[in-house]
Amino acid sequence: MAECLVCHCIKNREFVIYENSALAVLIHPSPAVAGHLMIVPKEHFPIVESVPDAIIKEMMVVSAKMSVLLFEALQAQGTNTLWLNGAPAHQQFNHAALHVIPRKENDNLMLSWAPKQLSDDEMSTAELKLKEGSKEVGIPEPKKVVPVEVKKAETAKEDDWRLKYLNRIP
Amino acid sequence: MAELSDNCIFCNILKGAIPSKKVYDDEHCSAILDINPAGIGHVLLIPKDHVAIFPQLPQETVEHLAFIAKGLSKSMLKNLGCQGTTLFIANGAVAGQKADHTMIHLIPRFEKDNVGIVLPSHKLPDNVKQQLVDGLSPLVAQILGGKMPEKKEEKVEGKEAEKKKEEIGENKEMPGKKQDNPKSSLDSITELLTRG
Repeated sequence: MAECLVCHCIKNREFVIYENSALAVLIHPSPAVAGHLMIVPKEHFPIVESVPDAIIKEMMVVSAKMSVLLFEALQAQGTNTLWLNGAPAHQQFNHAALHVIPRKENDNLMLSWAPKQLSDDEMSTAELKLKEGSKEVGIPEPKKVVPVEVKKAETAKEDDWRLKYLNRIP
Repeated sequence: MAELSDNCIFCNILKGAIPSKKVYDDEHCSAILDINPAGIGHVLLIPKDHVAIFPQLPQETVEHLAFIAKGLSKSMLKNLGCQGTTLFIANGAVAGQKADHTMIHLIPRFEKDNVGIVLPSHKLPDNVKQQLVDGLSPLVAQILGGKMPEKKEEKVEGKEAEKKKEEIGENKEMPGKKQDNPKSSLDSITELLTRG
């Protein structure tokens, strides 16, 4: 199987402008506009849902800081932060990512949507389903259990002086 | 936590003064259905801090919102049967921001849903790429702490990572100072941006 392009970039330090143990910040290899950045987990996770909580949190914190960077360094008048998660969302690489995009007036980027007229029924059904599902939202994922080596208790030998002492107790 | 504002529509929604279809709520944020949705299940995740743009939020709130957005996204896949989600944050009017209370749009995505939000792809000329990498790396290091290796060192081995950590200290000494060189090398990029 071909290597994931994002993993390839991280491995070869291509397009990388920052990295720490959990994530990397990349210049987008085929950007929407110059200055388009991607924040990606260093480990390969295909979709957002598979990224551990701690890393997705850190990615979002970094994305906010990258917005500030684009304001200051590239004089962006605005920024967009996006995730495109899954094929219908037009995900670009098979590697979960947060995009941070500098915006200027008349930059010809169309990142808006036309509002859809939904029936009351459709709205209520969505509300009900999401409300039901929200019981599972906000619950931290279980921590990975690290197997701890349990030392076997030393079996007392018969000639252990402590045992002899014990036996003497009436 | 920042106070809710009396004049802000979204603060009033959070307070319950304006009715909404709330699908998630905790002490830091609420998720409501967008009344002008891009599609079924389009949710606005709104922090209970009245700040204008996302980077103004306290770090804990940003972390919490990321965590909840991931949870909502998971719930959408499971409960709405969508095959993907789009997360969208706009900072500034040119980016499509409409209210002065920052929020996260989370849109369930289905095959051929005509929602749009497609990122165009442009070829990145090598010289622009190099300018961006050289110009932004030191600034990112300044913001996030840490330092990228010097430009001359083409191939970087694992040992460099350790060296990098040691250098963090000296980097922190000048948090406020702006580096003039990298900034000026970005001027041409700025022009590129303006041209669109």
